[in-house]
Amino acid sequence: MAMELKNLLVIDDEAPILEMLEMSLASEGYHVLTAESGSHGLQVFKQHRPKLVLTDIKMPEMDGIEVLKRIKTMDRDTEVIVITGHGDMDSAISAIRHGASDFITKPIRDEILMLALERAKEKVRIHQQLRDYTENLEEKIEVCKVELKRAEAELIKNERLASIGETVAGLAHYIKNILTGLRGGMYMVNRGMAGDKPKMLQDGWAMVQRNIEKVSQLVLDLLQYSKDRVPERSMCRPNDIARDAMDLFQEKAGLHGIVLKAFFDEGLEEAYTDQEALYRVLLNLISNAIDACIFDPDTGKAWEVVLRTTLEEQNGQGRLVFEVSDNGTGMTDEVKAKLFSRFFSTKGGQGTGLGLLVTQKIIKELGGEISVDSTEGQGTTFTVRLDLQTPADHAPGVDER
Amino acid sequence: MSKRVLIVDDEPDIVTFLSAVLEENGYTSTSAKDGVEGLEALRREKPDLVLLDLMMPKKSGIAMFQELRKDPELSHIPVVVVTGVSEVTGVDFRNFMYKQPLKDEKKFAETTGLTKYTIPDGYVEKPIDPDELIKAVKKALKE
Repeated sequence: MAMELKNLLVIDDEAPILEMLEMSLASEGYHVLTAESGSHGLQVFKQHRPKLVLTDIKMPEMDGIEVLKRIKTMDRDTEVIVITGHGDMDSAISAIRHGASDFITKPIRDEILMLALERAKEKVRIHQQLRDYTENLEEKIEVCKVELKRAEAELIKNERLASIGETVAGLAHYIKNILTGLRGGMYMVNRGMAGDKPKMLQDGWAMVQRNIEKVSQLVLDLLQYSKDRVPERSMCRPNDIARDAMDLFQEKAGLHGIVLKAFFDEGLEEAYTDQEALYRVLLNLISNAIDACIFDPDTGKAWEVVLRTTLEEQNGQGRLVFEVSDNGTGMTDEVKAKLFSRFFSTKGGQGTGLGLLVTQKIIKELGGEISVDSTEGQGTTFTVRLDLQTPADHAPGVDER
Repeated sequence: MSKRVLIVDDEPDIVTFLSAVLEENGYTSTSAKDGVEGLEALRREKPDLVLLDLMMPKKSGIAMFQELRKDPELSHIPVVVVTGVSEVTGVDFRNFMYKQPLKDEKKFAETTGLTKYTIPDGYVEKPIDPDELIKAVKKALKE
């Protein structure tokens, strides 16, 4: 028994009852304080602050209800048990209303008194525990607050952290879509074999292949983006690269009612550049242009994607210009602002946000520049400019620009 | 005669997969790749059921669904929504579709244009589980 729960104040104006209670409770291990009147009882209470009080209701001058009220205002956690006369239900109810924890009736039976005291003690303990928890909780919240502030500061300091999180979430979603495709393909391969349905087997297998291709492309994009690469230049024909890139999209464009148009400058013959890298740039830009038409809600339009190559002359320096235009959705200023700044996609789970970043990086490595012009609802044009270089520009001793 | 299902989804892989699952379970299917094509196909083919993606180019699944329910010729056709929208948006869409109208119908009507009487007949989350899909289809067709 906790120290404070040993103290017990008993108030009763009838001496024999008081003595009887004192003896009986002392034998149970309580340290019993006694008082023969309400006012005396309050004095003793103020002095010793017991957590348990047992008081008679019917007393001259100050009755038990009054004692109860005053004790509860001094310490609401003190448990007060009242003793009522036999059949005096009104007093009992009034006492409970004023916060008495229990009532027992005269004649007092030992076991009932002990039970009431046990219950009262339990209540005191619960109050105590609640208070402890609350205090602990406040401490814990303080600790959390400090921890949170520290984390916040770190986050603000390292803005890239947020952007990486976004990237990972976007990539995870994209990869999950690929997994869905692979699972779908597997389902079809399995069912196709089990049911001897060659068409389903074929379609399923094609689906698996398509999605494996998507993963390969993603890995390529990631590598392209993360590694510094020195362009592998050779003499090549830019118009041929453009034509190859365009041809790859004929089928998809046709499926969505988009017309692909090419205007190639015949004066543009050869350039000393990285054929693979340039091809990749054009694939990305044409693919984006087609998506801009597919996502365009304005179905009244005759969509077209135009690829134009031009040989530009400026201060004696020849420049190779690729222009990819579409008359699809166009971009809001908000989208334009995010375009090259970080992993960002408007294509939901169908985009990684890597395409333009890779494109930009390749062009930078080739020493060129990329610009964009877009009007919401009307379309977008991406322009890539590269200096027309010769092998002599890259002879040993000449710095890569 | 096997029942005909119209699949409306912009992703060819999903369409192929869904039609294979349907075929395996004795249904025939056709497909459309956005809400605009979807409505045209609906009017033309009068299918027994529609499997509808929510996020599509041109016309979203929600917009298409609203038009379907408003058109007396089409409004009886059961619709099962097949979507990954919860994952993309972080909104528990199933909860939104079925609990929100009971909680706050006015707000629900404002955000979706739907009422609690016009919510879809079924709901399947991507990634698609074939068994779950067929269960939803059967339930919507009252089979």
